[in-house]
Amino acid sequence: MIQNLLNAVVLGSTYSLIAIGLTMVYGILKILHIAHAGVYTLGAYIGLYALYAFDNNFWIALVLAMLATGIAGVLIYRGMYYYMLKESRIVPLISSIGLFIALQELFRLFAGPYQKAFPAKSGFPRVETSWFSLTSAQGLIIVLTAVSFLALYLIIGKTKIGLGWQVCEQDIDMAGAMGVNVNRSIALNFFISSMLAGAAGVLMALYRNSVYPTMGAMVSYKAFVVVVLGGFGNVTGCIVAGLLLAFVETFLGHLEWFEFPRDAIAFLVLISVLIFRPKGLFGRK
Amino acid sequence: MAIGYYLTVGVFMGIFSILTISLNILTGYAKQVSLGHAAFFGIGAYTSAMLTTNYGLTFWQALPCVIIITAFIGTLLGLPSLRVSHDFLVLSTIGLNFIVGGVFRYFSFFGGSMGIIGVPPPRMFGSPLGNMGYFLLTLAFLILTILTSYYFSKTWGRLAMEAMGEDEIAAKSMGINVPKFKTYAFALSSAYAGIAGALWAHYVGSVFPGNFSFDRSVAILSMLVFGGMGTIRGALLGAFLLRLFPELFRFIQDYRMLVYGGILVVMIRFQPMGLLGKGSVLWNGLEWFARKIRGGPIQEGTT
Amino acid sequence: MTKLLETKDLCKYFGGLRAVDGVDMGIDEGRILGIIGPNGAGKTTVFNLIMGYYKPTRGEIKLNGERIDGLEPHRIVRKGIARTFQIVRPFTGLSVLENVLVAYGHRYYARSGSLWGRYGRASHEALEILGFTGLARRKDLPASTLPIGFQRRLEIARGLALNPALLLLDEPAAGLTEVEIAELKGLIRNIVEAGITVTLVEHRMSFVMDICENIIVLDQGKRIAEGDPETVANDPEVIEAYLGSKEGEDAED
Repeated sequence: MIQNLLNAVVLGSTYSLIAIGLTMVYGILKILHIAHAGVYTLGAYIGLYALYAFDNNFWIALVLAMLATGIAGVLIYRGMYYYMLKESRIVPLISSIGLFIALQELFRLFAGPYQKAFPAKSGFPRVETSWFSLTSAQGLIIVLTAVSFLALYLIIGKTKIGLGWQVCEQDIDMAGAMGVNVNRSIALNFFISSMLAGAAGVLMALYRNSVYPTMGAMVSYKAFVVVVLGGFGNVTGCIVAGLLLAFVETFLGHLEWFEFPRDAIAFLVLISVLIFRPKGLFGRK
Repeated sequence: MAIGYYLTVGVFMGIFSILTISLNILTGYAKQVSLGHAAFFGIGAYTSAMLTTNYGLTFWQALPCVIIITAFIGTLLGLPSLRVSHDFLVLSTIGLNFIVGGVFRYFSFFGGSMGIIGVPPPRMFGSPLGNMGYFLLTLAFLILTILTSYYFSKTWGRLAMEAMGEDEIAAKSMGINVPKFKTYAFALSSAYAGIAGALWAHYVGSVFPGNFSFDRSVAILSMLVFGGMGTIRGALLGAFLLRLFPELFRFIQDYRMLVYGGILVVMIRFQPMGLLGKGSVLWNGLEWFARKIRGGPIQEGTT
Repeated sequence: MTKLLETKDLCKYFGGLRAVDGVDMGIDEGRILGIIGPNGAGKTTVFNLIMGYYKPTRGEIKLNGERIDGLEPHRIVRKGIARTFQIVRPFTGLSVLENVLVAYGHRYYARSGSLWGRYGRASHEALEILGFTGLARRKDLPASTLPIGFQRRLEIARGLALNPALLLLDEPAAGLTEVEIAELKGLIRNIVEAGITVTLVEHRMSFVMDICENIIVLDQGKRIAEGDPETVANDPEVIEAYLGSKEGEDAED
């Protein structure tokens, strides 16, 4: 039982790590950044090639992957969304879907369609008790999620960067008038959210010991479920919702008579929440 | 042999044209972006396949049931749209692919992952349709789809959907019952998609859960965006070209998802109205050219 | 004089904010009523309550003696009230003519079979409205390309096409030039002559004083004065409410 709960916490942490970025982008631009899933996979692949290059050193791979995905995020903003802010909302939405699919295909073409092993050793200690065991990857996921959540919390609450985001969230035109460098503020937002997605990609690759082109698809759809459950733009809600979804999945996955695929469960949850609580479980009414 | 190949390409082109036109009602007119159109397509295909194999109906007897059932399920699956805005609707439509696919795969009632095989070809004049016959049948359905959806584009229904898609608050102030017209859009769109599904199932002869995946939904949306959202001519051109390219250039087959994705990004970024949509460069040029040939007065911005 | 529309103890609270707080008012049939007040007085909220965009926290709204509060906006439109928006909301993808045609549909939208009725049949009537509002020559332009003055006319044209008994105009003069305002006054007078009751919310005192026969003044959600322009302009309470925003005379929003 405790083991199941822990597994759910690990799963939920990765969902939240991706969902935080989505929530941040949605908060500031009101864009549903579907291509975020591509950024997550990009992180895993960069991490993988960094492992090859730097003698399987996990920490170098993680840092490189985060940097690269951060930059990729900024490029996505400057190259695509930047031109679509004044258009109707269907415009950035469709291009985001397109970019996600194109990225996924690029990974397949460059790295091949097959799963690749992720042979890293992080050196993180393994925890073993009589009730449960926590592999080093699992422990790392929990710790890193907690750390990035805390860091983000401080950035949003205590720094000028966070203040800039909050002003932009209220009213982008107004933010410009109040002396916030809107473009830099948004670019930074993309940098950090994409970085977290990249980190999530590397961690997931380590945990599952595999990297493949479509790894972003399912996980990120679930991240969207988490964003919706968490009440759009709400970072704390995101964490809680991520854990909640993971618990529901783990629990239903263990019912013998309930054979319905786990992946479809996430969407059933999503659609029910959208119908019955369109502002999310933790959203303000 | 050669003619058979062209007929096959033609049949699939026809089926995808019907699908793209059906998506145009939902996404082009009512502006409800759907990435779950393959689900409606699949429901049509499964309904027709099951009615003809398990319940002994003929293609023609099954067809009205297909239309009614897909319209009904489309209405049900469209219910989230009444509560959520455009962006989040897309998420739930992505989910449709997985939920509908999951239902097909995990309930033995629907044949499970073995699917349904031995779907009979329709019979006309006492004998099963051959390749040529099926091509003509598809063509007939396509023409019927074009005519009916052209008629629809001239009705209050389309006008209300366009208004609602642009601005729900203003639409309400025009007396438009927004939930009702969203439901109409879903019902109508999925009914057409259901017909396309039935045509597909009886041509291929079998249906499997994997036939109606997310990838296929993306392909349909790409066709519409490429040709031009909101117009029947755009939907037709998009389906035609994007089915033609992979046939002409075999190597594209392997890159087709990349092409679909790329089209969504590049078209929307530079020509949001597609090749032939209202106000697109190409269409404006064609109109200007047509007027010049006719020698009529050149007006600015006539649609 | 008969009251076309009446509100009794109309209230709308947003959390702790009392946007509209116990307003009783009546709209006389066939006259022009102006609702004025400083920023945040609750003028637009009153319109949104009448049109059904908000549900009142308390109180009732009657049209010809029939309760309409709590109905959906599209039902209220069918009962005979139309509105324009302060910030124009044309359907930008549609042409000017199609924008007006949308409004003509309200008779058909109510019936399910009407989905299949051709809208082109109402073109003749729609063109008449466009002629009345001075938009006939621009009928085929995309609505988004119209200058603001004409977009405002388009809003009014759409409102008229709904064939309302009561037309609510939300800051119709906002963003217009002096010449356009003069034309607008003419248009509003023509509308009233055609038998439609007009109620408008406005910021510009001069405009309201000039055109309205009756004025209601709101301040912080409460009605503080009512009467003909002269009485209202000399009411000490009104003067005090406006004192803080004396320069509001020319404020555009």
